[in-house]
Amino acid sequence: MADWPRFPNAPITEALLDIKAKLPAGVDLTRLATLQGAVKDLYPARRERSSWQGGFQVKPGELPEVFPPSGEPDGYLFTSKDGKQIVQARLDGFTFNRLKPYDKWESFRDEARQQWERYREIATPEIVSRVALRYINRIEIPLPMKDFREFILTTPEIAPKVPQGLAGFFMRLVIPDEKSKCIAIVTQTMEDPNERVLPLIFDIDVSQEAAFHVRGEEMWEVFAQLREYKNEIFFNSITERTKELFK
Amino acid sequence: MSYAVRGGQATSRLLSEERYVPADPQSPDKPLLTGSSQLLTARLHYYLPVSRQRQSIAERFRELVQTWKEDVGPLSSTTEMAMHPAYQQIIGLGRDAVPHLLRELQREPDHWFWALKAITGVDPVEPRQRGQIREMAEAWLRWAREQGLGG
Repeated sequence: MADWPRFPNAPITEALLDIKAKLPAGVDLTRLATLQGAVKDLYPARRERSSWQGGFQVKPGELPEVFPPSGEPDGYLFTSKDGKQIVQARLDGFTFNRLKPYDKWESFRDEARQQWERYREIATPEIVSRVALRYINRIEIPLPMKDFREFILTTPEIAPKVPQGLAGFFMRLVIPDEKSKCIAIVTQTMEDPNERVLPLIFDIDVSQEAAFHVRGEEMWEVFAQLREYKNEIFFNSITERTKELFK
Repeated sequence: MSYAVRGGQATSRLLSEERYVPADPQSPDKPLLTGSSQLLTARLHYYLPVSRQRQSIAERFRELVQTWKEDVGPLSSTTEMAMHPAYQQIIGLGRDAVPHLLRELQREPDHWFWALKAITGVDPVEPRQRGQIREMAEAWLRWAREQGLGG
């Protein structure tokens, strides 16, 4: 494992540890709600979570068919007193969210694991089918700035004879890693700049799909690999000038 | 793999991004939404994290009601109930909270009168109704109907 630097002013706005699981047929929302008893001391606020679906479909020779958004409750969000940590207990799995400020991997993983164990006891998942780590970074690039490459090495490229000004972009890359069998979804975009800074969103979501035993160590070993892959992408994408912003 | 637009003109005009979608001649009836689905997937993925979500008034209201109901017991005084942080935050939601308060009052009459009075500045409850939760609730729901607020 590489020794990655830690920054006192890390740009992480949210870190997520996500476990997709298959629950037995008898486990419903009423059962998931009982998790509150186990987590209430640290996560006192409970909120219902809905999965929103909607969209439209186009078939040859037919008018587009619109499906209005519809929400079905699929779990609960338990929020910590300071609002910085959220445990999501859903019918399709578990997510632990940590909002800024992010401390370090070890404390993030340990807290997520502790809450997963509580979820596991109540939801009794049969199998884990996917594990994922997602880190959303918001890098405040100081203005004026001539080229994104001064700060980040993966950037949208505009043909040389086209005007080079960029008022906005949204870039999504899906990058498989043969070595670790992980997939990274890297999303880069920019928020509206002010006079001082241009906020660049650098979102790295790494995952692995496989069948993991719900009690085993294996998936936690995979989380360590996911973190390595995430860090490889992050640290190999930013420049020395960017690192200075985080010190 | 070939890349083409399938379907009629209307489809390709509506979904110009479809020109980059792999065509599947084996399944002519398959919806032509692969490209758009990818955009939808990307959008859902992008907005999934908590830090990118904006809680709706309805969600916030429901969360505060739940916290309040769990924390205040049936023996709490009206003042204790109204001074609870969650109750105060409901008042802080302002006029947006009124339809939710009225629905809550209709669903399960409770001590929402203080909040309604604080937000709207009116009090439709007659002196003889005070202390009678169902009658007070009915007075507020009648007021809501008169104001065209439903209830």
